[in-house]
This record gives sequence, C-alpha cells and structure tokens, in this order.
Amino acid sequence: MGKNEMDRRTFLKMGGLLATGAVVAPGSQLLIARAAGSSGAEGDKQYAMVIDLDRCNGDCDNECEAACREENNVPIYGDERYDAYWLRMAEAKQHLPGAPDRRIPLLCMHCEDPPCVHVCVTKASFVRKEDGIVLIDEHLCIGCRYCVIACPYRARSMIFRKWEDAKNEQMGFSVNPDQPELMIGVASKCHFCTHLIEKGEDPACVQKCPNDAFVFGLASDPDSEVAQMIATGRTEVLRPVLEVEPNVHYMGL
Amino acid sequence: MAKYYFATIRGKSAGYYAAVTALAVVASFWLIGSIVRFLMGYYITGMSHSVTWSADKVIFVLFVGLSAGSLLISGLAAIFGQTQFKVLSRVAAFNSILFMVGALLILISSWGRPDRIFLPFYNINPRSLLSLNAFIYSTYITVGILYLWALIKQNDKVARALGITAVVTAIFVHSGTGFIFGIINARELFFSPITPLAFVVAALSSGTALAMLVLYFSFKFTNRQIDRRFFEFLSRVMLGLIFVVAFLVTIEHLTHLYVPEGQHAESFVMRNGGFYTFVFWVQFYLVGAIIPIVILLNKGTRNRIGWILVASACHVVGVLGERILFILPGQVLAIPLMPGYELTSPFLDGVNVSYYPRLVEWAQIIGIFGLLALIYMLAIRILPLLPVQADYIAPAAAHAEEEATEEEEEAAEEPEGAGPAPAEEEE
Repeated sequence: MGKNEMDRRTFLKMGGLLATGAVVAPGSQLLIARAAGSSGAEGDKQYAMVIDLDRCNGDCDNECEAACREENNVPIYGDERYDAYWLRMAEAKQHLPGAPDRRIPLLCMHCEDPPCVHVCVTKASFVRKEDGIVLIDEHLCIGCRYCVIACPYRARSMIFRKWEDAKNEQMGFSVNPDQPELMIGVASKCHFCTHLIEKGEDPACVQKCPNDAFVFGLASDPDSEVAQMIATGRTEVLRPVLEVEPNVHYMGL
Repeated sequence: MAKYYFATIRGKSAGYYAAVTALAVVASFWLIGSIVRFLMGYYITGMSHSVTWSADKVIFVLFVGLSAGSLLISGLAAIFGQTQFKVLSRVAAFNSILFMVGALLILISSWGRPDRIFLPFYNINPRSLLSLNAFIYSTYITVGILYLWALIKQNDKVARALGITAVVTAIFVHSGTGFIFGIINARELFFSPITPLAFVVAALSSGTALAMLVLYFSFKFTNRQIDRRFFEFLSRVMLGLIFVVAFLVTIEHLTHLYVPEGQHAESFVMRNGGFYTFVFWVQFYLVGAIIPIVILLNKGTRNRIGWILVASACHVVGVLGERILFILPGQVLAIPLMPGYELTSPFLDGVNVSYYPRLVEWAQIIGIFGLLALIYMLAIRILPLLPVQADYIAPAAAHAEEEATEEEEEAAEEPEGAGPAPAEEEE
C-alpha cells in the first residue's frame, strides 16, 4: 500500500503541474501580447472606419450592403439561415416609447485584440502587421467554426454552399469578375476591401453610400478625417466592455 | 497477485455475424453522411450563422467525456490501488481509446474542410486551445494504445507507468476540452472558469455510468461471469460524482444570475427556452441527477444490478442534456450587440434562432454509435480484452496472495484463448 500512496501523491503532483501548464500555455501568450501593447498592427499604419449614424438615416436602398456583395462576390442563396453577409444593415428599435428607430451597419470591427484570431486553430485568421486589417487565409481554414463562436460581433459568415448554387445574379447583384469566388466550407468576412485600398481607393461601402455616412482612413495618421473624428471623443465602439479594441467606430450610437 | 485469464470471443455464431452486419450498415450512415456533408456544404445540416457548433459537437464532447470514465476504471488499479479492477483494465482502456477515436472522427467530419486534416499539426497557433488540443488528443490516443499494449503483453511495470501517464493526459484532454468553451467571453452562457472542472467531473461520472452498461452487456452476451461487487463499487463512485456534477452545474448557472446580461441568458435556459428549459430541468436535473441519486441511495435498489444499470443509463442521458446545454443555448441566444435596442437584420441579429439536427446530422450521429459498436465487436474477437471470468478480489486479499505466489507468478504465461469456451455472443 505504501507504494500506492506515493504514486498517488506523484500522480496528483504531476496532474496539478500539467493542468496548470494547460492553462498557462495559451494564457501566457495572451499576457505577452497584452504587455507588448496590443496584438494589432506592428507598423505605424492602422486603418479604421467611422460610421456616422446620424447620416445613416434610411434615405437609401441599403447601397452599402449591395456594394459589399457585388464587390466581393459574397454569396446569397435566398435562405435567411445561411445567406452570407460581410456587411449587413440592422434596424434598431429603442425600448423608450416614441423614440425613433435607428439603423446601424454591422461589419467586421477589425479589432486590435481579435478573439477570432486568438482561437483560430491553424492561424488562418490573422492581423496583417502592416496595417492592422484582420484577414482570413481561406487556404488554411479547416472550417472548425471556432472563430464564428468567438467573434463578439457576429461578423463572420461561413460559406455554406458552393458558389454555383449562389443566386447573386438572379437576385439582382452583379458579379465582380476581378474578385475570386469564395471557397466552400471556410470562414469569410469583411476585409475592408483590401484590393481597393491597395489601389488607393476606399472600400466599396464607403464609395457607394449616398449619404456619406462612412468615413475610412488611417487612424494612425493624425491628419486624416478618421483620426480627427475619433479624436473628438464623440465616437463609440460596440460592446466596449470586452476591450477587444475595435477599429470600426460609430458616431451618434 | 491474482491471476486472470483473458480470451477473445469465438465469434462464429449466426448472432455474431448478424450483429456485425447490422452494425456495419449503421456505421456506413456515418461515412455516407460525412461525405455528403463535405461535398454539399453546411447548408444540408440544420446549422445557421448563429448556431455553427451543432449536434455533432454535442456528441463530440459526450464521447470525450465517456472516454474519461473508462480510463478512470482502468486507472483505478494503477493509481488508486484498487487492484481488483485489474481484471477490467484491458476492456476499459480499449473503450477509452475507442471513444476518443469516435470523438475525433465526429469532430473532423463536422469540419467544413476535413480534407485539411493535417493542417493543425504544422500550422500551430499557440494561443488557441483547440490548436493545442490537436496534440493533446493525439498524445492521449498514443499513450492509450501503448498502455493497452502493455496490459495485453502483461508487462505490469510498463502498464502501471503508462496507466498513470494516460490518466494525467486525460486531465489535460478533458480540461482542455472544457476550456474550448469556457474561454469564449463573447457569449454570456459560455464564459466561465467552472466549465473545465464541470466538464472533467461530468466526464468521469457519465463515463463510469456508460462503462458499467458496456461491461454488463459484454459479459452477459458472451456468457461470462462478472462479480456484482464491481457494479456496487462503481455505482458508489458514480453517486459521489453525480453530486459534484449537479453542484457544479448549479453554481455555474446561479452565478450567471447575478449579472444583468446573465439574467437574460439564464431566464432563457431556466424559464422560457422551450426545449432547452426542458433539457435543463427534466433531462439534466430530474433524469440525470435526482433519479440516479434516489436509486443509488435507496436501500432497496442500490445493490440491485438492474437498478444500478437504470441509474447509469439515466445519468448518461442526463449528461447528454448537460452537454446540450453546454453548447447550444449559448449560440441560440441572440448576442446583445446594442443593449437597450431591439435589433433586426437579414443576418438574424437580435433573434433567438431555432436549431434542430437534420437528416445528415442524424445519420452521422447514429452512424458513429454504430461504428464504435462495430469496432468493439470486432476488437473483442481479435484482442484478448475480456476476462474469462471477472472475479472481485479485494486489494488486501490480492496483496496477501501476491506475497505468497510472487515467484510462481513471474513465470505465469497468459493462456490466450484458453478457459471455458464462451458460447454465444451478441452485441
């Protein structure tokens, strides 16, 4: 029995150590990232967007939503359950009587501390170091859907069906031949129209909004319009308590 | 030390062949379902953009849990000095590997891209628990296989060391699996430091319960004897674990009630969640905890094998309910993107979505049970897992015998296939 007693103790010790290790290993990575400031852009560039909700007054046909779909070939199938959206327009009803209804475009917030990137099994989700945009390498995604669960903003759409089954054209959305079809079975989301930014243009939603509610630019450049709007202190982010440091700010939230 | 004789089953009866054929058909449902799902895409499942971890994830965590309980029985001898369990350690070790393999099969076949199965091994994200789990799970299976091999080769020293390693790895596996869910702070019902702990304990209790059922029916259908005291012992262990599970789940939900956002989420689970409310009160508390506790405390029922098996079955069903609550309501419930507002959008913001498994998911789930049963049936025919007769030799008695027959035992060879020929066998 004495032998067993000792083994039990060794067992508990080993178990305790290993369990601690299991907790500490991934956690410590986050601590290190936090100590280094943030896990966002490492260079001096950081893109951001400000959406002025007072200008987003419903005086339109949701051009932002359609522009996003047409620019990036985001598939729509005609089933609410699995239609993909990179940007969607949500209606917000206030509980107070008589208060006007609001509208709010929701998209990927390009967080500086993104939970989706932290949980990604294969590093398919990552923050682009040069400019802080959160991207997905769809060739690395295994479709485990952990990021979809972890995203606090529901910004991610899994691609539920083949592109051939998408009804974009039947439903009146043009198809952009310059952008690839989205791969089936992987996660997808807004990438701030990276291909347009690289040409020096604004993202599609920013360009197509008839009321100029979207402002896009470099938050890291103090002279940019975005930086100055954020500097007024009148912009807010969604779910600020989570401290994921989103780069999509709302004015008049 | 007491000597045990292990033997494969003969497996020549018509009943055996019929059962194997039937199970092979059922197992093919999993394969067909998985292939169809991979080729067609997620849309043929009941998933939506809100509920992306669906019924297969529930089965995944259930299986990971069941694996633990089996290993516990196997480890009782190696770690806790309950040497009478040595006789069952082979079949228990085998089942723990089996359930883990089943868990991984159902996990990988639920991916959108199961063709990229090896990616997680060379594209590692050290921040992601699921990424680390790829290594933890494969270590667990490897250690388990080595352990089983040492048991079959009757290399006691190696088996003991590997048994301890396996149980330690199991702690890793089960807390790691609990952590996958516990660290999601975006969703009210997920984020909790208790989750890993509750996961481990529910794993042990449900695993013990299922192991009792598997053992009982394995011995019954192979016409072999197993001492009833094994069930009495294990049912006591299970009773204690059920109390702890119920306690942990209760305090987890009670804690949520003290946060406004949590109250909203908990009222969904406890009061107006429809199916989930039923699962919470009836499946988990009534069937999973109260009924087994009453059976196992009542003097008239607690030592009757029939009742112990009923309690075990109830508890497995209850833990299945706990796993459902663990995974689904947190996703079904709308995320409070803008507190104070009622959101509506074409992307189902602000809506509590409904989820139910569709045909392909049912095929995968029923099929994976068939597949595991099939592998088990084939394994007990190929490997000497089941003892010819499972006697309950208490540690003290075994110890005395060990000293008496120490030298004799060294030379003892395992008479494989010997012993009374087991006659008919079925499932």
